[in-house]
Amino acid sequence: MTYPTFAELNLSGADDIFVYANIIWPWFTPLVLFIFFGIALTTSFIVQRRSFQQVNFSASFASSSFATFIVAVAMTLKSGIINKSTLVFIFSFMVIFVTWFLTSRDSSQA
Amino acid sequence: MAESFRGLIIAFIIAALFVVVMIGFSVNFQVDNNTNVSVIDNALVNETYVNLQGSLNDLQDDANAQQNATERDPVLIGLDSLILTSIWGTIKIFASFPRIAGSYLLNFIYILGVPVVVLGTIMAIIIITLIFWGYKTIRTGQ
Repeated sequence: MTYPTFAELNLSGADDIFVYANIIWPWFTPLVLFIFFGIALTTSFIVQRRSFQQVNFSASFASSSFATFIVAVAMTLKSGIINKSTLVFIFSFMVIFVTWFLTSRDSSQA
Repeated sequence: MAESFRGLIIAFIIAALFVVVMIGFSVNFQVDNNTNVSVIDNALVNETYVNLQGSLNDLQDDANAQQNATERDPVLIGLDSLILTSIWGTIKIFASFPRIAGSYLLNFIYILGVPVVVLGTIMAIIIITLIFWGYKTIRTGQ
């Protein structure tokens, strides 16, 4: 399978690297955001375990999803990196995790 | 936060406010930076945003009305407790907000492709929790 080259797509500059990757494989941006979410979530677990010797799962998911949404919104600055459906998916996950955090009993200890 | 009837209502109020604020942030970001992608472009998100805004505006009016009703209500003392008849009206009005806000917030689960039967089940759990916690609030006063 031959892929169009960077020049063939009339792309230039470092910011178009992400656009090029997204054109070649549309799941690139969702994968990057998922990895970011995983890193933020894991970091939250480790910091809570180290500081408080216990983990508040709902708070970790809520904070990680919020950070991922902010990164996704920042990605909208460059056209072609992220599409509407991906942004709405990330927003929906954020709303679900934040609602879970607010309605859980653990949030009173946060 | 949701360890009581009052806590559950406040949790849903804050969740609804959070959704409205974040959608407003996304829209303002799109307008200020002239981007072509925003969460409000989704029809269901747009509808949820309008409905949640309306619910939160109605909530303020309901709270003011209930405060006036509570202030006019004479306090009765009986059976080692204070009897405030307006509290039942307050519970009825504010208990409806989690049900209304919950139905709008469940739209975001629907966006993820979850079957409607799951949404109905979650809604039923919320309503059952509200009923039993409302009864506990009236019975114990907490």
